[in-house]
Amino acid sequence: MDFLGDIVTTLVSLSHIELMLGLLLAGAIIIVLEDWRLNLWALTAQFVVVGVLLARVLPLRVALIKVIVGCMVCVILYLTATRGQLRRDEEASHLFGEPRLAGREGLSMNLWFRALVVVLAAVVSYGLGNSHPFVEQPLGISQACYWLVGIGLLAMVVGREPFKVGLGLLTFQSGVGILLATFEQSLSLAALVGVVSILIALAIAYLATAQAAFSLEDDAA
Amino acid sequence: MNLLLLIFLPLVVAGPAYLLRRYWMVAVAVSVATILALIGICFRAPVGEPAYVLGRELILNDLHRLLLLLFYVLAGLMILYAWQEPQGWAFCPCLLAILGLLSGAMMIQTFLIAVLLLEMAGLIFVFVIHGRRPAPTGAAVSYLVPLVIAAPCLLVLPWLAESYTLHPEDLLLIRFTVIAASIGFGILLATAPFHSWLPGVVEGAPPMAGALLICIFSQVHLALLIGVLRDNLWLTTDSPMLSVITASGLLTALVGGLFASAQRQPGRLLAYAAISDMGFVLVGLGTGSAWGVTSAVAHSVTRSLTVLLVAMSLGAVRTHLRRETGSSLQEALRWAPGGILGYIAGGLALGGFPLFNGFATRWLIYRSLAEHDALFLSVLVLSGVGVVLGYLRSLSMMLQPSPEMSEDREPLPVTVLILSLVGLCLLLGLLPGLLVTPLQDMLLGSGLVNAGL
Repeated sequence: MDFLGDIVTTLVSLSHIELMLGLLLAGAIIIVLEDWRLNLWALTAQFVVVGVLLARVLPLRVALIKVIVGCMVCVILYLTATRGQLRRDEEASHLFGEPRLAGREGLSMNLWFRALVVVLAAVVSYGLGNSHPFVEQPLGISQACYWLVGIGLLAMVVGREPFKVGLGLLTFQSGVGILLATFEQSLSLAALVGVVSILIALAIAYLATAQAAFSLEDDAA
Repeated sequence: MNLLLLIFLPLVVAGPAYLLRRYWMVAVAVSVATILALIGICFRAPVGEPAYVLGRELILNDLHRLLLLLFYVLAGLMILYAWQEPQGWAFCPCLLAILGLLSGAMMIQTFLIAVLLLEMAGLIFVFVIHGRRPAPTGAAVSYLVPLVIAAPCLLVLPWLAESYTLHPEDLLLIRFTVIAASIGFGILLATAPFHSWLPGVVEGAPPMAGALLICIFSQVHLALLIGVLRDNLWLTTDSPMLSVITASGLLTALVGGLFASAQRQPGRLLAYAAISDMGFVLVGLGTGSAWGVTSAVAHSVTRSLTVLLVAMSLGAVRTHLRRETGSSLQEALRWAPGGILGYIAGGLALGGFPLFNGFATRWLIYRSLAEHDALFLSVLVLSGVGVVLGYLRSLSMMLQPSPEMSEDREPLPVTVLILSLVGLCLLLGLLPGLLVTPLQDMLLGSGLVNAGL
């Protein structure tokens, strides 16, 4: 418990610049890299950082809901991805004799383009956060919201598979959650936003599984 | 208590309906029984008497009661159709859950919560879109993305409206409110230029899923839009909101009609016809007059009936025309009589052909526009002609063999359902007063329209 307490104390004591850097890194990983494990770690980190950031404008228990919901979402997506990966490897070895190296092909293709887009999004969200802040204090809230909404939209645009699009949707939803938290701070609203996030994750899990099944059937045919 | 039952009864029954999905008849029976119970509860629910959930107020007004009853009847017909023509394992449980959430969204007085409930219903709808076959997930993803993008635009509306009432001198707030409402409702109602997601979804989803989206979801979005205009009267007097709605309606009707006339795929044609019809509804609403709003609501009700008719017919024809005899109309009538007759009647009604319900309510909108501009009228008439042309052209395409075909004749209950809907469409076309007069009395009586919004 002491260990957990230390982690919470350390997280809460982070400055807004450190939290923003964390969000920047997590968003960049989601957009640039194709490996689902790294993407999921980045999404988890993103939910935690958003929770810490929100703890400055919301009661702690409400901010904690965001973190718990984020962890549940990541568990749902992790189970989906591992199941899909196992099934893909199994089928690939059956059909082609060896497992396919999923995730590597995307790395080289448009890595630089995506990195450039991420830098552009970071500059735009920083500028928007400074020129059109929707809360004055504490710092970083507006920038974080603009960044998450922007990077979520980008992930939806560049993603081709339901899983990748889903990561974009959840990132976008995190940004919207920050915006809503500054307007209304009730527990019921936070809970409903949490339910929406979980439903998005379930829908994405269902679609990713269905897409994998369809692709395998298509390959087999 | 009754109002809470309208939300929680279908949500609770959705679980057993899901568990019983392997015993299809039982799942259908449970779902139909729930729908009948909801109709009874809705009839008996007190109008204007508040109930509370999570500290938020729920109120049922006359318009919402009428719309909820319509939804329950439509949902019951969809389930009966799905009994004979399965629409996927998720259809019955998801439809029940969606009905519960949409009932909550209609009745709850906190707009933020209403939008979140609507978003949840939309997310559950994703499970219905994919149906039961191994198929690409493009249609579901192309619904999910606009839904998640539209919700925040609506979620900021109360904050913007409240800020404007506090700072009426800040004209930028008016602009932001109109932009947020236009984008949010524009995406959800699939109005031009935000309409492009709907044809793909209707083409890729099972017929009843497409019907659910157009017949029920659109109505709830429209009811929320009317609620926003009623609760923020400054939007109709101090902002260009009504002009934006009218312009968007004209553009939507024109775009829908033009695309429908060139469309060959029946699912896409249905979507474009529905988009064109939504244009009519918005034009009526945009007049802001009592007569215009009544016409808009009446047209949206008849639109739901007609779209359900076409969707049922489309499903029946796709499934039951025999491969070797499909190209002859006479043979087609032997194998799928309801499907063919329903498709022809529904296409004519969607295009606003005289004698059908689509014409009667369109005529009311033409009349409410008569004082505005002749150009408006010609655009709307042109749009209707485009839809009718599209349906006449598509009839020959419909008679082509489809991969989903079975060797069976169309089941009798499906024929009866479709022909009943054809009869209803004709009845409302010949006697539109059956719908319009009580609707107008109700809207005026409840103060929802009072010489305009």
